[in-house]
Amino acid sequence: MLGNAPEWPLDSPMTRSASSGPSTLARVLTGPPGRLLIPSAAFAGLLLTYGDSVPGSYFMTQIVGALLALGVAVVWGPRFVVGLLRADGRPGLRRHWARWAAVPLVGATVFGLLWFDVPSSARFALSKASMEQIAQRIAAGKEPASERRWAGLYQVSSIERSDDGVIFYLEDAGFLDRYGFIWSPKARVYQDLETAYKHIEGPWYEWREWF
Amino acid sequence: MVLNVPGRPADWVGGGIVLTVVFFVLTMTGGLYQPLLLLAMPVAMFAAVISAYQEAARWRADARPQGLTEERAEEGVEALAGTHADPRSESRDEESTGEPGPDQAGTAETRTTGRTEPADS
Repeated sequence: MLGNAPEWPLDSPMTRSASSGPSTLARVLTGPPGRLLIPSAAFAGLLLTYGDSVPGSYFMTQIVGALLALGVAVVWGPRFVVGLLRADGRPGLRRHWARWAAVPLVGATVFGLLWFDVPSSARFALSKASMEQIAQRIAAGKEPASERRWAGLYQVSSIERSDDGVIFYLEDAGFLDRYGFIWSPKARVYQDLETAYKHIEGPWYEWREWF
Repeated sequence: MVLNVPGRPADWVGGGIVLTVVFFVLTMTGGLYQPLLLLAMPVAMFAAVISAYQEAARWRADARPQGLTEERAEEGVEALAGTHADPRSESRDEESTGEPGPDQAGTAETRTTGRTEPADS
């Protein structure tokens, strides 16, 4: 019995003040972003960046990333604004300025990357050589693959030979429309009502088939 | 700037979540509730944060008569940290963040001074 006695008497000013402190939620809401919010912002940024790295984007990845980013903004924004407006909030903002700055910094970085189309350009640049090898082999007579496979950093659902080149169908890209790449060294791609092409560089075109 | 709201932070957060779900269901069933759907949670979060600051301020005001002056309180924290605080958790917090962690804020400081530190999220 004696061994289990509490360190502090049950009814003393010490225990009273310990038990009647602000709730955990109140402490979290008045505190700086930390172990949950900053990693969540980074994860949302990763999802959005990855989702935008293919033509047409990965729809579900983008939706999940956008919802997570919205959640982070809804939690971060009011805490920052109220902390800024209240005299008892400003010292906390000054003391933990780096942690407060981390979330908008992540947001601005991701926005900049998406605005300048960096994820898709980088992924295409890293995949181009590998895809070109595959395209040249197929153009030379090798049978194209009809099953799912990797071509560079892209997962393609199938690769087909066409009259003027080779078509790479991207797996999971877009929502309803189909997206892919065309390798056409003769530069003969025909626009029609169902398909659209956008020149990327050299013999490469981005291809879209309307639903 | 004076910002006051009634209720506790948990009430506002819970209310915001419930309203968002309700507006979402109404929107899905054909109602034009999108503006409310998008606004419910941000407004609730603003109120919850204001309420949290109020709660912290109220608690500081209540705790002050029980405790010590600010200067004495700092001395008290240091004295208590030397006798009661767990040295393992202290070194762990210093290693990870370089500053006292919420564990210490919730034990040593609270017992001595009635003050508390905001927690991470």
